Amino acid sequence: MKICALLGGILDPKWPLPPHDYLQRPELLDGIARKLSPFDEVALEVALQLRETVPSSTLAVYMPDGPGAEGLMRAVAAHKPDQIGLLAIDQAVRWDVAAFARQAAVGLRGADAGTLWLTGREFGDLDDGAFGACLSRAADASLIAMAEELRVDAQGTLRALRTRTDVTEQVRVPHACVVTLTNARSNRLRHPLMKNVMLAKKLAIDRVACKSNGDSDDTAAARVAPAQLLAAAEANRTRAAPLPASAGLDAQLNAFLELLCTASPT
Amino acid sequence: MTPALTPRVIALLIAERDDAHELARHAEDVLNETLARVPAQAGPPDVLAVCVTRRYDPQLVESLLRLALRTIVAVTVPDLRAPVQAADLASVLERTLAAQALGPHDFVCAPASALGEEVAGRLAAACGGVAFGRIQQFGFDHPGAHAHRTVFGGRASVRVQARTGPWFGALRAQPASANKPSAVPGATVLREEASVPHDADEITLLPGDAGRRPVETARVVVSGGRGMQGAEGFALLEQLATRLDGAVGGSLPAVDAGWVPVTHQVGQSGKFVSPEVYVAVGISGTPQHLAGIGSATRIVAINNDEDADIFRAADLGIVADWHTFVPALIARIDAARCADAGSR
Repeated sequence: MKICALLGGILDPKWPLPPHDYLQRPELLDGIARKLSPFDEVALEVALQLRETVPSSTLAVYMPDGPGAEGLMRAVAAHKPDQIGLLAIDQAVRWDVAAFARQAAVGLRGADAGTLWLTGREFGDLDDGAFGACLSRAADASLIAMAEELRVDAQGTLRALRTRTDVTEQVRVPHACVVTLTNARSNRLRHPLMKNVMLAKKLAIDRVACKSNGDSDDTAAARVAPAQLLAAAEANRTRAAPLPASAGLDAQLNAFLELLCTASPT
Repeated sequence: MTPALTPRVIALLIAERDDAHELARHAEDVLNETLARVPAQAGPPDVLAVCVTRRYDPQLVESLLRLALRTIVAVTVPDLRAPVQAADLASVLERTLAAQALGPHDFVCAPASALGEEVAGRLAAACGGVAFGRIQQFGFDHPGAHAHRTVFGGRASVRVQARTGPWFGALRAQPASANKPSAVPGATVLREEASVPHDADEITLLPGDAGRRPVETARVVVSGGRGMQGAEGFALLEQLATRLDGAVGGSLPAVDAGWVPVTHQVGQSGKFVSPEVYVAVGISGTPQHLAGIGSATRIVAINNDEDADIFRAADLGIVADWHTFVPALIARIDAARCADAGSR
């Protein structure tokens, strides 16, 4: 079985975004450190676990190329995947998940990355869940969203575990499938061995073309574009100073109950 | 300049359960958002609602008829699986939208839930449309449409646009409109029946956590974060939530640690909640977490770090150790209830 983890990478949330309009000048973001998102880490961990479970399986890991991508891929390479590479996806399509997914699918197919593709439930900084659906469409594969684990059952069938409101589902994973992974206790990314971290620093990383000659301009073009940076999302929430411990427990309890009574009288 | 064709808004009324109240509320959300963007002189907007349920619900249709909807398509799917599968809904809706002549001037809104987001993504991919993702606002341009959405883990809000549709988004709950438009005279109701055959072996079910109340619909949400330090603290939050008639949620680190299931994660990558009160216990207050809380919600933050970012967003901040504060709060609520019962 060929397992492929497709990781997005995000800007390190500990770094502030630039105060200037980075939509018009995306190069302003280039200096910000990149890291794996929590969902990238989950996809990688589940892929590693599956490789350990299924004898003779191989793991390929791909990520879109871009500023900081090579360093991030070296960190991933320390987990010893069998194959790694950076996808040369047009920066112009990064706001359009469908166009981005089409190019990623072309790249993964070109890299012979198998038919089981794992990715985080959100892909990168600009997606909030539609990427998986678009990727499965582009790959002509099924989609299983929001899984937490992949397991081979007693009959040898690969199943994805997914928590729903009041049950856990075990979904049969078809041969060609995109599985998006979400976080859970069972899938926190392990730490790599230090010797592998050192080896990864010297590794050659391939770039994979993501446009085939047969692609029309329509296939590759982005339909979505950023128009305006509106605000820092948290800017509209500026509130009163907190009630310190020195105010006393009684005063704190009273303040809580008073707010509760005014906001939610029951 | 006027557009060549009038844009149309399509509200997808779908939910985990056939909950008429939840379905009608999304229709209102879509209408509120549409009315907020369409100039008053433009006349009643063309809003179509497609509702998918297991059984035909005349009361739901009646409540939808009281809204300013031009057309209501009530699709009954008796063999819809439980729990409902996004793939099944997308398959039914793809056929219904095709029958309703989905075109490049249509904006399709699903509810902003894990289910709605997945269905919107699947439909956008299947219909060759534009996937805007999770959106706070949308509107029409000449030509095209735009949407407001948060990016970079909830740290920024951006207006994105696309010249040709159909456009698909998962619309977050909207503030109620002050002036509710009256029903559209002669609104059309179409009844359809659909089927989604499936292989019974595709999905097997294991018992889960049926006792937990969902966070999306609760009036009070009590959430814990990394600062809870373990699952034991969440048992205490559960006690508090029960007394407040609320639900328990958690931040991403709490889900990572296995203290609360992913279905109860609040934040940019979890559930979007808009309760009356949100109690954040041991939560630092990252933008990613705050992006999951509605702007009208009053936030109470309890944290022993007085510099925690959550206090910048809180209506009431309490610098305290939850080990002390939460049991004291539970005791105070119990005492108040006893006193209240005694005085009656």
